Amino acid sequence: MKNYFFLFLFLYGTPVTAWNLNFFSPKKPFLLFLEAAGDSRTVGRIIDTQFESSVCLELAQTIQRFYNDKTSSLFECLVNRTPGQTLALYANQQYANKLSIDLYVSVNAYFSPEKTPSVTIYRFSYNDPIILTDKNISFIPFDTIYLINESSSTRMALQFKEYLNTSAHLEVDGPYALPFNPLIGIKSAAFGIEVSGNSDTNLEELASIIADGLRRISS
Amino acid sequence: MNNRNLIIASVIAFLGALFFVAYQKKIIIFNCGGYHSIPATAIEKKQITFFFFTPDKAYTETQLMVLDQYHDRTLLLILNRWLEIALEEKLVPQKVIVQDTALNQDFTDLYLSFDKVPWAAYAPTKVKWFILEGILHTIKNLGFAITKVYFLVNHKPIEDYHLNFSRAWPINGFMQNA
Repeated sequence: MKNYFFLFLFLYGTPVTAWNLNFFSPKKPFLLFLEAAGDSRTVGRIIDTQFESSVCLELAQTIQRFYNDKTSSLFECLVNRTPGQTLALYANQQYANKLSIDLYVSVNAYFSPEKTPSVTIYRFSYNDPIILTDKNISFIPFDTIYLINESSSTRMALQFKEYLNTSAHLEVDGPYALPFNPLIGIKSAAFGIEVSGNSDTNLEELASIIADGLRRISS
Repeated sequence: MNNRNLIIASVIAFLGALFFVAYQKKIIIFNCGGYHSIPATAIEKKQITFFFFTPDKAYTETQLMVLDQYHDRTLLLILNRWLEIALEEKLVPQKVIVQDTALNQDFTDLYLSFDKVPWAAYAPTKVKWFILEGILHTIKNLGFAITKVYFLVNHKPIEDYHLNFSRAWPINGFMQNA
């Protein structure tokens, strides 16, 4: 009887202990989704000799390269499109919501003749005076789903701004809460950045700073 | 019915329709003597404060304006004057007019239709937002019961990549979130 008791303890105790030590449930990587503004059909604003869509895609892919951690699998970054791809309406939102991402960042850009690039941070809000929680079966309108993770969006946007403020190579503005269209319909925490620049702007340096900021808030 | 009567009936019907169209287009107006002139007290002069926001500064301008007794027509006058001043100050890149204003029955929802978007295609989101905030602050300062504003272009919701207009914008705007 004594032997059976110890056998039971061993058979039951080991997997429970292992589960709690995450041997069988490895930590899920922080999934970041980058939305580069526009696509092959919606080219956006003109930035010197380029279109906003191509500049944003280049910036997003560079951020992805800096963000993805090759040494461990703690961070993972996806970009919403590839060059030449045309997206359907609200395809980004549907894709991001299905993947259950941790953070959605919309990357936008516009032309500015200033030497120092600036980053303006936005998050989506219609000043809705209601609180929403995520339940298993519920119908949540497209334009109010942002309320589920509104506090996380605010917190992450503020942390991101705090980090960017430490950089001398950037001017930072925001975060502003208004009906920022690229973020409509996103369930996870989300904020958007609008970067000012021109043909002389060093995209690699800018992407490196942004990626560092995103990694800080991801951890 | 012989051909002659048919022709007479057709001509009468055609003239009747022509007359009806002319009446609708106000080419022909009937003065039945039932219209009353608007009393002098219904039209007033008032100091109107126009609000303007740019990424660098916020400022106001006050002008004396003759207002209409009806709120929607008053708003049309005021907002067109706002757009004229904004054009002079180079806040909007080209001449934009408010085609139409309409209020719901409770006078809480305002529908504002421009003839074109009041910002440049290359404008940053903040500039577009500040133009609308200036309009919202100007309307709010009038003291009407308006709580939200629908922004339209040619009577359809504005389609902009960076700002959403599928719902009405609150009259308080979003500056308090900054």
